[in-house]
Amino acid sequence: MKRISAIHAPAGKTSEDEHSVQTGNLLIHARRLVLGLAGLVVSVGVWKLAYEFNWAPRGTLPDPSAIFPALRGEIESGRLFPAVGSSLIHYAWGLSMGTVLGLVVGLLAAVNRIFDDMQRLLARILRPIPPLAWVVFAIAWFQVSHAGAAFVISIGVFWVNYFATYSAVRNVDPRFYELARAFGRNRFVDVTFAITLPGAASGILAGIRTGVGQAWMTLIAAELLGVPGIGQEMNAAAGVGAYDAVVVYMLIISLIYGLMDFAFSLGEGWLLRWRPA
Amino acid sequence: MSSPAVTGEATRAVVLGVENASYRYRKGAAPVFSDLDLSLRAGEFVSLVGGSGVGKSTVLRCLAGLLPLDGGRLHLDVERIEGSRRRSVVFQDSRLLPWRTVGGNIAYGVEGLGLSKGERSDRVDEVLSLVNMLGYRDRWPSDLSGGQSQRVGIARALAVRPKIVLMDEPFSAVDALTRRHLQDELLGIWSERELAVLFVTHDIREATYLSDRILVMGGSPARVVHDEPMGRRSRDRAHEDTAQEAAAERISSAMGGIDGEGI
Repeated sequence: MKRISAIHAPAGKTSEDEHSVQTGNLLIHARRLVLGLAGLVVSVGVWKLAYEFNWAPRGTLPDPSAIFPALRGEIESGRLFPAVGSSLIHYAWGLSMGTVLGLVVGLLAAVNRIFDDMQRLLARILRPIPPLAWVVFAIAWFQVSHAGAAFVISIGVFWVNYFATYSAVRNVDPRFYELARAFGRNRFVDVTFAITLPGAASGILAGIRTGVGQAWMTLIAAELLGVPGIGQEMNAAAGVGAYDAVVVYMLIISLIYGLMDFAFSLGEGWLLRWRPA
Repeated sequence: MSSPAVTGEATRAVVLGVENASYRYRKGAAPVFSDLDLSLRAGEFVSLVGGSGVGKSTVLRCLAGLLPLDGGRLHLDVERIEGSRRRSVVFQDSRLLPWRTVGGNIAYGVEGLGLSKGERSDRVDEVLSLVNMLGYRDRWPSDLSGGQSQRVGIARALAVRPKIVLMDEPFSAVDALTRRHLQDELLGIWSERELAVLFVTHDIREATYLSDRILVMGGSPARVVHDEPMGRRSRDRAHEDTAQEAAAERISSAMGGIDGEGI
């Protein structure tokens, strides 16, 4: 009860109140952590049960306790790091190409009416095509290579950034453009960097962040076709029934994505530090 | 251009004005105002009053060059001095860029003037001290109160060293006490910098307190229906003189008369 009253501390609070608010926040965080870990333990428990009682076809569900040894095996065999490195190469290329192009095209479409009208129908036709449908052309044009995988990845990332940038730029408060004119700052490049991009920053960054995740989804699928990387290793492991190794790669993806998203959120927080808390 | 110190209103040059001006939002629409004549002399403080929606802010935007006149002529007769702008604007909402600090917002107006970084920084400090906000240079706009934001908006307008400042109901969103402070600060800055100010307001008391001259807008399409000279005087809230009272009466009836006319 004390915690609740502290959280709803009225205006004019004393330092003692602030202290109990901090304690309250700490308790909330601690509770979240404990419950989060509990959720994890429960799900691993269910997994273990499923393994022990053969809920899945025999041999297709690995023992949870075999995951760490499998991780060591993948490292020692020399497969893990090259696979991760290879994936990161086409991930980085695909992500950056898709992001830059999506940002530029989205921005131009949002600020230029003629370009907007020219691209609208085209976007409507191309948008529904899943990135993986382009794999055929990726192979035809780039063979089984980093470039081919990067191409497929960039398509998904492009659309995410294109739509996010387009709507973020469209939603920049028009009063800021009037301000720019009032101070004679109406050159296109000047307005773009001083008003449009900062004004649209939070929407654009949300798009980039979604793209960072989207790229992983397409990456694994693109690699299942044979481009070296995590996806290919998973496919190879599954082919010999090494499902524990598959889970290792799944967790590696989760870890890399988690680290990237965390780093991104730090950068985003810094860029948007002007926003009220 | 004659100096504001020269006596006699008529001898001072018109620095900004419109003749037979009209404006409509789009072709075919009814004009917001037409046959509008208005002039602002060097160093003069003119208020533009009128009911809400009459088109005061539209007139101000035309004078600021933010909207093109549909008909008539706009004069802007101020020497363009290196490192300054001839006119600048204070908006009703303070319109600070939320992603720039207080100092960055003020610098925004100055950045296009070809000054060195050091000169720009000096300008920022100079105007911040003018509006008593020197300690706020590195704050974000989201940390400021309404009155503080408006002070920064005024500082930004002054940083470009304009001869004309166009103010669109700048104090309408702040509390009464802050408004009084801001009005007095504005008067101090106005006389020190010899500015020509066009001040849009719907508050007659504010207009009579601040202005040398008050223009009343009314009608549809709107025009200037009354021109009330207030004369040079010492401004004292405690002793609002009878002349000021009488002026307020005349302005009020000019506004009321028009409101009653209908279209």
